[in-house]
Amino acid sequence: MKVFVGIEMTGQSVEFEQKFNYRRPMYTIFDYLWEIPQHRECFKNLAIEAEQNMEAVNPPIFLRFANLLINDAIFLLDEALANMAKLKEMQRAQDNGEWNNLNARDRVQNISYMQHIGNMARFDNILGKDTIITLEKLTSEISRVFTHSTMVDRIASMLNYFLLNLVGPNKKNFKVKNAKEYQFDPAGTVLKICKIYVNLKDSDAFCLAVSQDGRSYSPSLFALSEDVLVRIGGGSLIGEMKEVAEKVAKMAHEHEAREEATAEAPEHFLDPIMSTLMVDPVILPSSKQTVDRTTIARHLLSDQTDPFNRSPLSMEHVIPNTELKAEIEAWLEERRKK
Amino acid sequence: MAGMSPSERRLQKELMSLVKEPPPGVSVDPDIAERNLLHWIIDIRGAAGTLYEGERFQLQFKFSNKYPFDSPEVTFVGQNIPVHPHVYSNGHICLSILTDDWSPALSVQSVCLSIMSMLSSCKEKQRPPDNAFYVKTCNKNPKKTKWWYHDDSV
Repeated sequence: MKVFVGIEMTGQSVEFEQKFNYRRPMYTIFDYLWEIPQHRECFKNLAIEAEQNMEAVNPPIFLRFANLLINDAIFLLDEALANMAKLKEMQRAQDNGEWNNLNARDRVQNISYMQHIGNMARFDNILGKDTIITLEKLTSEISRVFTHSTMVDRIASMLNYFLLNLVGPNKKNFKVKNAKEYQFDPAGTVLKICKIYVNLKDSDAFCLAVSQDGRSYSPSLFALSEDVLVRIGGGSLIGEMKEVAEKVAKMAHEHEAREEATAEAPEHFLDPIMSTLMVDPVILPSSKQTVDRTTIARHLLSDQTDPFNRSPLSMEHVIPNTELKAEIEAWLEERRKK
Repeated sequence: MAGMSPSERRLQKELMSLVKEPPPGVSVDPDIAERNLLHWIIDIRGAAGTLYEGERFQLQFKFSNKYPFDSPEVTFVGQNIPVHPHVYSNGHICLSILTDDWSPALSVQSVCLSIMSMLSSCKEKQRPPDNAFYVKTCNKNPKKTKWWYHDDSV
C-alpha cells in the first residue's frame, strides 16, 4: 500500500512539467484514498517521515508532494483570476457595444478569443479548486510539514494573496456573467482558504509568516474576509478566523520588537545571507561561516553545496554555534529588560 | 522596514551599501531601486587601460522573490551593449555565476565586479561566434538559456 502511494507521488513529481491534464485524475484518486482510513494513515505516516527528514539531501517525497501542490495552487489560481479578469473586461466591452464598431472579422476573432479564455478559465478554476481542496484535506490532518520553515512562507503568502484577491477591493474585477459556466466559485474557494488558515493556526511559524507577508497581508484582510464569510454562509468559521486574526496580530507585534532588535544588533549576530538576526546559528564545516539554520536549509533544498565555497554540504554536517546562540539570547534578554 | 519580504530586506541592505561605498566604475541610481526594489539599473564604466576605457554601459538586474536563493536576471540594456565574446548583441551575458554557479553568498556588487573583470580581460572586441543565431532564437529571459560555458579565459 505504501508503495502504491509512493508511486502515485513520484509519478506526480515526474509529470509536473507535463500537462496538467495528467493531474486531474490524480485528485480524484486522492479524494478516494483519503476517505479510506488505512490510506489516510499512510499519508500521515509519509508526512511524519517527511518531517523527520525535512533537511535530508533528497527531499522526502511528501515534502515534494506538498511543494508541488502549493506551486500548482499558486499557478492555477493566479491563471484563473487573470483569465476571469480578462473575461470580465471582454464582457464589459461587448455589453457596451464597443464590439459593434468592429468589422466582422475582428468581431468573430474577439468572440472566439473570449471563448478560448473562457475555456482556459474553466479549466484553471476546476483544477485550482481541486488543488485547494486537496490542500485543505491534507492540512486538516497534517500541519507540521506545511508549517516547516522551508514551506511556511510560501503557503502563507499564497493564502494571503488569494484571500486578498477574493475578498479585497479587487474582487469585483472577477465578477463575470454566468460565473457558473466557467466553474468560477469564489465563495467555495474563500471557504476552503479560510479553512486552511484555521487548520494551520496552531503553528506560531505559520501565523508569523502570514503577518510578515508584505505583499498581501494587512490587518484589515481578516476583517474583510469576515464580512465575506457572513455573506457566503461561512458563519461557523468566523470565530476561528477571529482567533487566527488575533494570533497573527500578536505575532506581528512580537516580530516588530524583534525587528527593532535586529536594527541595533551587532553585525556578527546577523545572518550573512539574509541580514536577519539569527535564531539558530550554525557553522558550515568547510567555509567556517556562521549562518542561520533556516537560511542554509533553504539553500540546500536546491543546491547541496556550501554557498561560500561550493564544496559539497548537507544539513547533517552543519555544526550548531552554541556559543553565538547563547550570546544572542543573552543580548536579547538584556534588551528586553530595558 | 515593516512589510518587506526577506528578499527585499536583503536588497535594501545591498542597495544601501552600494550607494554608500560603490566599487570603482559602478554606480546605481538609488531612486530607481527605491521605486521597485526588484528591478535595478546600474551604470558601469569601462576601466582605464582596457578595450572599454571611457565607455559607459547599463546593466539591468531583475530579482525574483526567491532572491538570493535564486540568481538575479542580469542583462546589458540601453544604447551601448559592449562588444565582447560573451555578450550577445541583445544584451544577454554568458557568465556562469548568473546561472549554474550562482550562490546566495554572491551579491549585486560581486556580479558587477565579475562583469567588469570579464570586460577588462578582453583582448579583442568581437561578438560571440553564434550571435546572429542566438539572438534570433533565444528566450527573452537569459536564465532560460542553457548556456554552454565554453571558455573561461576571457
